[in-house]
Amino acid sequence: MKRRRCLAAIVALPLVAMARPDTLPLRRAVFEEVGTSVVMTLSLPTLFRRYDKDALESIDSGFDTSLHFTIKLWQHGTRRLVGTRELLVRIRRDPWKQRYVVSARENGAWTKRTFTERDAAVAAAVRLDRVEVGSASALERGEGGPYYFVTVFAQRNPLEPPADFASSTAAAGRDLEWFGRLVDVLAGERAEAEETVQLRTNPFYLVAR
Amino acid sequence: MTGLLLASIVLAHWAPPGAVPATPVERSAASADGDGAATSMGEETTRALQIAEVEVRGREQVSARQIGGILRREGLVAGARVLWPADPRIARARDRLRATGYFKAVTLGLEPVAGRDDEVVLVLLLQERSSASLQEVYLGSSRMTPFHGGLSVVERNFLGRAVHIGGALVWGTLPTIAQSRRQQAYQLTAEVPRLGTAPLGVRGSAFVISSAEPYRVAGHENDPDPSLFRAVDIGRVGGTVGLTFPVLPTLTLGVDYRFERVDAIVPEAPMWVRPDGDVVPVDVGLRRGARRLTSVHFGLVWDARDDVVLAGKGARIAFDLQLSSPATGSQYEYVKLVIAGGYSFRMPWRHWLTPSFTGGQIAGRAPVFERFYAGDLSAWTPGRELGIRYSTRNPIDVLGTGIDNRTFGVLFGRLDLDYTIPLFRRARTRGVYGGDLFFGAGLFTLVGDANERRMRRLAGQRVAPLGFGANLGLRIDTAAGTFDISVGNVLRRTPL
Repeated sequence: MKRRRCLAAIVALPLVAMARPDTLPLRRAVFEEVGTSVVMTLSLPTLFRRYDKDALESIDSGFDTSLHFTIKLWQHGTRRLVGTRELLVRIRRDPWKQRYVVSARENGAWTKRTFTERDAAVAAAVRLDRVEVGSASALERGEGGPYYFVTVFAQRNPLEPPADFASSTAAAGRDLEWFGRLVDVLAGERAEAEETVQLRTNPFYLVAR
Repeated sequence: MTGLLLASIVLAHWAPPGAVPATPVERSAASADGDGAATSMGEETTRALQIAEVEVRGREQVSARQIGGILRREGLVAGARVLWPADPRIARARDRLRATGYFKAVTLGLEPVAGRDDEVVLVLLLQERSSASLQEVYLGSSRMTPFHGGLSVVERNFLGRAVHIGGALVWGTLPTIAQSRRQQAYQLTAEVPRLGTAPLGVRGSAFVISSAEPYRVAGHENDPDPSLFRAVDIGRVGGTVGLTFPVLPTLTLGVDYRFERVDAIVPEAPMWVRPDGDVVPVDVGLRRGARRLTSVHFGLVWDARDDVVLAGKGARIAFDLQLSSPATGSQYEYVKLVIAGGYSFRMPWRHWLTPSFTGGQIAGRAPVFERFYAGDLSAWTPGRELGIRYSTRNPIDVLGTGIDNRTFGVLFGRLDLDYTIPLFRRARTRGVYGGDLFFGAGLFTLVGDANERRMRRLAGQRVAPLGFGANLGLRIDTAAGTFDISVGNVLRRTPL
């Protein structure tokens, strides 16, 4: 079984290296042109699975559960990256007021929403509601194209390796570091966050004016 | 080139399926007031709260000392302050606890203290991981036994009650020694480390072993050719019962009583025809017929390591004294003492060094399966598996001291030095938790009883020959157990 996985990894390596953003799983999003901005509405419910007790306990703990979204706007059919945006959402239960708080930071500004029900708070946290994905002026208009789409890389509580871990030190040497990484890759599964979702949206175009 | 460019332009302007227009809309107003209403704000305000108490929930078998150590390292102790709603130490402590590999879920939360706005109880919610693990994989081939295989598994949290249940079996094909039986062993173990809140635990085991213990009848002492051996068939059935006393989190005392029936078919006058033509009697180390073997064991284990699986700072010392005499109801009389210790420390460049020692002595006439065996000391030679020898090979004589002439002894010593390089650690994975690269080198010696020592001196041989062993490999910690992939592992399992 391990040998098969190893062979599969070797075969898949060149394919992974050539991976394109338009090969990610597709999810339908709504795009709107508001003023000079193009905004997107998209929901990612799998960031908090209904039966993930650990995730729900994390919200109820009183401390923040962080959701990091990396939103990239691409021109369809090419590999041209039009723009990248980062969005940070935090969700927690306020143990004193006994309410759920969802705060989001976009373009440096924070907005806060409060909820009495956890389900409603979770639904709000995983919904990218009219999030700016790019400036309309940076895109070409017309029904005949070009077309654009968005990729979203979402992480719940991204993990950071401990700072004092040996493989992160220069003293380990480049050869050893390379060997460590090789073993790590061959060992398979690698967690970067408590939950990760990566997808692309349906294409869209700007209406000609 | 032009064609490619044209193709990419055509592709870019080809209406893809599902393409929708971005709907032009007027700028919308802010949400209405009420549940879910959005309000703009500046940077979130952070409050410093005093930790009135740290409460750990869900701990079953992971030591409180280890959990406390991680929290202390991040300064999350009673009386300290924690930032709310976000404190980087909380995430770090959570990741460190997960990185131990002991927990399926770790949540650090806070609960307000009634009547105090600035004090909280820090609650650590733990869910220990399923602790069924593979302890050992017995797999190998030798000139004596073309194939033997088996495994040992243990569940350390049976029914979520921290009860240890284990089982092991090993089975081998028919040995190539004439008139010997197939060797196999089966073992069941159970342990309750703590009865309620009392500092007392109980443990027990049962086993059945059917073995063919080889003894030399011809050839040089270091010749492993199975045709130069005969075997004594041994049937063993028995068990142990015992009590453990966890005196301190790091110190455990144990007392066990072993009882078993040893049925050995010993030949009338086993002889070894030496290459020079001398014929000498062989001590097979067993009494003929069905005999009772009982013994009392006193054990002490002091384990202060941070991590018992992969590299971690700390020391471990173990001491085991076994007494078998008519006073315990036994038909064998001997005393056996084994002491082992080691200390791991981190080098400035964050690799680990572990010097360790093991030593033991037997006084009296212990049965052959209780004597110290050379294969158990050398990293390159097959050792006994569940008390069974599947090979006739002695250690490799690297230093030219004659260690390859030794099979059993009543006194041994071993010094090792291990160098470990942590390769990777993973938090919150379900399969592989971490991996280390390790190098080890060591010296060992095995000494026979007084009679053998006299014979060796007369023959001009060393009484205590030195053996050398080294190993290099990967240690991978997984949900199924810890696996060593090493040079020694390959050499031990290969029919050399």
